[in-house]
Amino acid sequence: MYTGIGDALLILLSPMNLSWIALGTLLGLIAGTLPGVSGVSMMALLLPFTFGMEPETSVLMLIGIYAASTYSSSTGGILYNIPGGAAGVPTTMEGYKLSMKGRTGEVLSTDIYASFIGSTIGFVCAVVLTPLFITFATLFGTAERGLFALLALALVGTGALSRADPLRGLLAVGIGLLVGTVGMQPNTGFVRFVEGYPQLWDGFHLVWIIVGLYAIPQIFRLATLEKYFHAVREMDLHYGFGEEFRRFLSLFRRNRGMIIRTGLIGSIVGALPGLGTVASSWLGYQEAYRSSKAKEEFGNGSIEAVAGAETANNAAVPNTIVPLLSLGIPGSAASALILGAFLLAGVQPGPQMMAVNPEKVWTILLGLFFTGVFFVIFGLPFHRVAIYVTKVKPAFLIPAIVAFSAIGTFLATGFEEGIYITLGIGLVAVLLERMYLPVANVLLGAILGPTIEKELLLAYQIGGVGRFMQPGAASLVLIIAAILLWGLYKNLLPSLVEIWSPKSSQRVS
Amino acid sequence: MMRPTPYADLLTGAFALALGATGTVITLGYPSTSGGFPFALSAYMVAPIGVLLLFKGVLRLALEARPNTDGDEDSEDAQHVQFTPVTLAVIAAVTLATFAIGWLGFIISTGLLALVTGRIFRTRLWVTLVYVAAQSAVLWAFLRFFSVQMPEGLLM
Repeated sequence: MYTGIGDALLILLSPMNLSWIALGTLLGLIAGTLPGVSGVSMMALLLPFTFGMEPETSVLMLIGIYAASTYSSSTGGILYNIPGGAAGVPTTMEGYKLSMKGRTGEVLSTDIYASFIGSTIGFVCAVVLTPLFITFATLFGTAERGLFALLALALVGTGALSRADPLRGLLAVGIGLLVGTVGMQPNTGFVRFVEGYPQLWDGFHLVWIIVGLYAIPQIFRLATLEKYFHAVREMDLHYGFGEEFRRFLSLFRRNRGMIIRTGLIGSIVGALPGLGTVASSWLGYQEAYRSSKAKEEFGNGSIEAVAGAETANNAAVPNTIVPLLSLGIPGSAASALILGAFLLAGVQPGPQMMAVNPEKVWTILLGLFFTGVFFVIFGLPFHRVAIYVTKVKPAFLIPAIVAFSAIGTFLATGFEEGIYITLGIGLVAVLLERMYLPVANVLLGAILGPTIEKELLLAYQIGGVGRFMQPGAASLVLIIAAILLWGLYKNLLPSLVEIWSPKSSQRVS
Repeated sequence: MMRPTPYADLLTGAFALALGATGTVITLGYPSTSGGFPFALSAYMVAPIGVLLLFKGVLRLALEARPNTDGDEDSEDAQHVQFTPVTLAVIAAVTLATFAIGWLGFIISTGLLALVTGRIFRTRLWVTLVYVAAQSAVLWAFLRFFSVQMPEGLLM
């Protein structure tokens, strides 16, 4: 199971691969720090340019962006109360208040060191979990593969383990699945929806969908972000690295149990599809609150909360990749983009990858650890540069992103109309966002849809309905049904009860 | 997490119902092995969710004391696109510039886009012009260096 680690280290330590990780880390730091610019958007923008690269090289750059943007998603929150992503919200709640009390250096340092500890714990867990998941995956046949992908979508769509709106979550998944059915049916070759357009017979290209869903709305989001940049431009971010490090060590000594527990919670939650870094950071926050002796500080600026949330969400990062590497099934938007990089390079992740190219799997897992090291090295000086990052004018950023999105889209297919289709998908994504539909679910549906359809139809053609009655498949069917019912019961029912409650009726009368 | 208004529920429900109905009608004529999956998605997933969202929206409009039409949705949220006049102008400019790529060529249309966004954000004209020139030069060099044949339009 652990063969190939030595080869992976050699691949990873090549100057070229280290440079790509370093570049990815820097880009991730920028993406996370700029308000409203997410790491996933940055990954989407760069994905088309990975075409032609070695798969491990392109994936190393993308995971560099992903890991560093998860860490720095709270930097913007601490500095100007706007997190770079949803995973940074708990830290923003506490960190910004501490920053306002003049403790900016302490919060930023705690953020970075806790993130590093989290990413190290997450890396160790990923090294243990990946072979276990792969052993589990080798027991799967076509029906189980299709049903497991469906299970991932059920978890994502219903918000069974989070607090998402299940109707909107499932609708977004359904839209994504429909997008995935455009073009040739994988088993029969029958063309659906686009009979008159031969260029679309292979369906919407992954790059069009990714750039359309993530990079294009980013362009329009930037149009209103200028006001958020003003606050940080006048800040003084010079603080003593050594002094803050000693302060963090003291915090760590007092709270090491909590920090290790939040790391483990983040790792386990990260490996579950649909939860990832956002749920991890909230669970880390809750664990920090539960074990704190200074509960009154929570909500008014708690450094323990920052440590707990950051350890947990960074521990989740390596583990969100585990289902992708072991089963070939992405459980989050970021891992869907990483899957995109693999597919563009002609590599299908999954249990076969560990059997045929184990060094690829280990290169990626070890790369995640290296990214943690890089964001500590770059992160501390980057805090001082963050002010200059916010000086980039949206007036100039917007045409640059449009230009690179167009080049990237065109490079992927060499098809001019692809640029227009991508813009169309982007405009639809903006409308979906305004309808509060999560575009990450659309992306996961579009990516997993063809796999689900192909595997389930194949299983049905081979064994009929009886194939789904076999223990493995039947268990998965029952779990999916339970998740759907639980998600609806937990999230939909309370909102309907709230509408019907006597209080709201009284207000009407 | 922002809570959608009842009107957002109604709009989303109507959109889902329309999408589900369209998908159902189109896939009705497909062979079952090829069209079964999109048919099931449209008829048994997307359209029913649309009906449920419409029902929820109507229920909220009828029973909630003061439907929140502006509060939560207008709260500042950097994660969503805000439909301000500036954003709408940017959306129009980006759309026009993108569709102009095939006709005017990539370099010219992105240069014009930079000029227009410079005006939208009221950047000094000379700064904008310097930026347009720099961007065009960088893009031209990038395309030459990597031998990318973007549409050339008028430059052909």
